Amino acid sequence: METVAFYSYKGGVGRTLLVANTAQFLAMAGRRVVALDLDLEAPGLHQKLADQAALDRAASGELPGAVDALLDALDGEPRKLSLREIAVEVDLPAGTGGSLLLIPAGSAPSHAYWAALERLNNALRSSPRDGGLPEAVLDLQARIAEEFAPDLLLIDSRNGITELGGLATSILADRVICLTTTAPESVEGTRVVAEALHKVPRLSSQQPLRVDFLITRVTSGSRSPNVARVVEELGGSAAVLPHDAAITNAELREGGRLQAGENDTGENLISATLQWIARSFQVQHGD
Amino acid sequence: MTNPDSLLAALTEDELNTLVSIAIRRAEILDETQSPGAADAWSEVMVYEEQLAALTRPEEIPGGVARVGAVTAALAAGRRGDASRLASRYLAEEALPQERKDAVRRAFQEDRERRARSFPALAKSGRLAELDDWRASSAAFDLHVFPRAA
Repeated sequence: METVAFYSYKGGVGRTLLVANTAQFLAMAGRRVVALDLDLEAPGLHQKLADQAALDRAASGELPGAVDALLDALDGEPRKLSLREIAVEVDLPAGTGGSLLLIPAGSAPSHAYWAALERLNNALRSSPRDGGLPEAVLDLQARIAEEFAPDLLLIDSRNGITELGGLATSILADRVICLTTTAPESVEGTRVVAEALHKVPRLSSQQPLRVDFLITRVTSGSRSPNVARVVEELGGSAAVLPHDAAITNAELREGGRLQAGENDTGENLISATLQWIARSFQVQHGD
Repeated sequence: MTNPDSLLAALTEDELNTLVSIAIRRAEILDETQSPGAADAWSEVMVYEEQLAALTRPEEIPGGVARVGAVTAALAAGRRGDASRLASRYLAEEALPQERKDAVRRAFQEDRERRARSFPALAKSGRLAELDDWRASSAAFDLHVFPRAA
């Protein structure tokens, strides 16, 4: 199982949407994918991937998720929740060879979810002798590998600098995809975090961490030389996703079910996103 | 502002013994009531025990007790990086009696077993021991930005 964490220093870069689209694309290309929402303070992956029935359960506080699984692990008692009870199967077109399971953060946004998140934070403070967040998230990852044996685990990681974001990008991930816009505050934060990620110790059985960059929401007016400068600042290996660039590819678009964000000019972005995912994960649509 | 290290260094062994007794009782009560303050309370115990260890000889009973106490308090506080740091220092002391060294090693073993019961999938994956090594190397790694995992 390869674990890929999607990270952004600032919010609003299209990270969650990209996780959802990447998960669907790879599943449609025949991969067994699990998408895990670890953006616990502002979860939204279920809004992109889950069906209406699951969204209704979330609204009524009855959709268990990663927060509940972590709480379950930290209470020191035998497991009460199976991951199969938590995972939501995402519908894919008929004939798709792969599969996509979503592990949402929980019933967000609901009062029940915020209460569960508070209990999780209290549990981490009150019983550190039983193990902390590193144990809890690594155990969750091991359970996902054991119960679902996916090819890929895609993590929607919290933005900014947080403990959970640090763990997701340093010891859970084999690869981190850092998203940034061309805004200076976003680029500078991304650069500093990426420098730290290149230095951070790994578990002894892990390979060195691979860090990729993706510049998003690039409008045609800002593409050059602004983008060239950002690419240079990030070390010269960043890919670019356009906001309104004139890129069209009907063949890819027809096969895709990808979504655009509210402010995106959908067709061009979808096409470019598909191409980036295919290139980045070395798959072809219809694999 | 007064340097907290100098305040600690000014305390006598008797004063530290009084403080550590109160701190241990407080930590036990907070532990029992599953209070979020329990970790901080055990951290306080660790600080006093570490200072007591610095003031006492490893071959004498108070010195041995303080060294084992510092390590077990660090583990109870969830400060496993600090526990590893202290254990490395104390286990390297030739004068520390074997029974004390065994107690330090036993504290780590019990800690690992407790976590293995709580996190069976992680234990089965073999990464629990790796995580302890990672903590030790992260503690030595001066990361001011990211990640902040302790």
